[in-house]
Amino acid sequence: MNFKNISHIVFISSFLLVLGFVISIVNTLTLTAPDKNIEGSWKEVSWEYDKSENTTITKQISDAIKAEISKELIIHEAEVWNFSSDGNLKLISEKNNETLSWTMKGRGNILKLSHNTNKIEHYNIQLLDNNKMVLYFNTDIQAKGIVKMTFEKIKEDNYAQKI
Amino acid sequence: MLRKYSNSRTLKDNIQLGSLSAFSAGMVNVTSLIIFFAFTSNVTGHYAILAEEIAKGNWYQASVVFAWIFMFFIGNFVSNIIIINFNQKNSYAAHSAPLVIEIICLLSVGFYGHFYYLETLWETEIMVGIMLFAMGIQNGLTASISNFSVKTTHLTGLTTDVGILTAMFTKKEYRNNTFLRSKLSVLLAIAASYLAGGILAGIIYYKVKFMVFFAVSAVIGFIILYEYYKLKVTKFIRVKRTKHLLKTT
Repeated sequence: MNFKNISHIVFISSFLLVLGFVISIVNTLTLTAPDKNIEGSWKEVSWEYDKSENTTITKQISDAIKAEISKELIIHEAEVWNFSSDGNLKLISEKNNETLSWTMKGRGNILKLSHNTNKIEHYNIQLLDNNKMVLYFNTDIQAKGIVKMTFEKIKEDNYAQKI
Repeated sequence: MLRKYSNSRTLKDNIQLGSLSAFSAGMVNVTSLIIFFAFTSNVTGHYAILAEEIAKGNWYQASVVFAWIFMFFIGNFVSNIIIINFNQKNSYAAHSAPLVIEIICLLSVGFYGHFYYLETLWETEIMVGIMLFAMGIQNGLTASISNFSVKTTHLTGLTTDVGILTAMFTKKEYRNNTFLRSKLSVLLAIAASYLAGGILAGIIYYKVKFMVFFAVSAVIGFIILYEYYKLKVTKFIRVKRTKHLLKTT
């Protein structure tokens, strides 16, 4: 390979790198960020063990175990999670309603929930789109493992009608 | 530590520079991991995440990660542009200037984080970017002035080198090789300092929060001031010797 070819490769690589950076900045300004995507109401659809140390247990988490796991968490037994743009998260269930604070960390892959008792929990956001959200968290209850929580977005008009 | 360039550097120079800068890099990386859930002193993981996000079709996240990698790249670029253009004129200034920029970056993160940070995602993304830029500057500087023998912000290559050297040291001929032994000393000093910096930052973060960045800046400031002091002392001794020689002749 002669010097002229190497110069061309260096020039093209540098150009592509800078172009990639410009496109990245434009994307971050124009695409919907995860902290905007999460705003609204989400209904819990399922709780499952995704990875567990105990291979004999079934993946689906029963309501009794769910209640036991939730006791240790600040999310308790909510059915609907309502994320507001002001950083408040309303947990709505038949029994009671509670308000927490939420923020996102990393590249929008960590959901940080804070309770007014200063208790903080972190959940991994595995999937977040316009219709579905999947959160992961570690638990020591029953069987040590990773719990997968799946949510469906409640469309604003349906939710308004319901309440 | 900072004045000498490439092959004129001694083992002591490399250990001093490597240890102090690895100590600060360890502090920065652990602090960013605790606060922002993102690594800021290395980009290997970010390349893997970039590939994962592209595969998932998460273009926003992929763009953020690409921008972070670019910030690390541009940090290396900036520090070497300064060194290449100013090393002939004043090597101390050429090597100190990137560290001054690094201090400005870390102080700005510490100051903003302490007084204004609202924990929004865009703030997190920008601050991680600034820290990656700062670590890129530091890595570019130490690698460049040590003739690529000292890299202080990531330990993948270092751990590989330690593995290779320890394997070589099973043979007596390599154990007696002074160059290889001194190389291992530098590598171990860097690894130990990085770990110590990380542990210290992890402990003090819970007490002082974002002010840990002021402590990191103080460590880097120490490198600059120590070199300035050494420069003055060397100059003072040289002037005294010249005067003495002039008197005796």
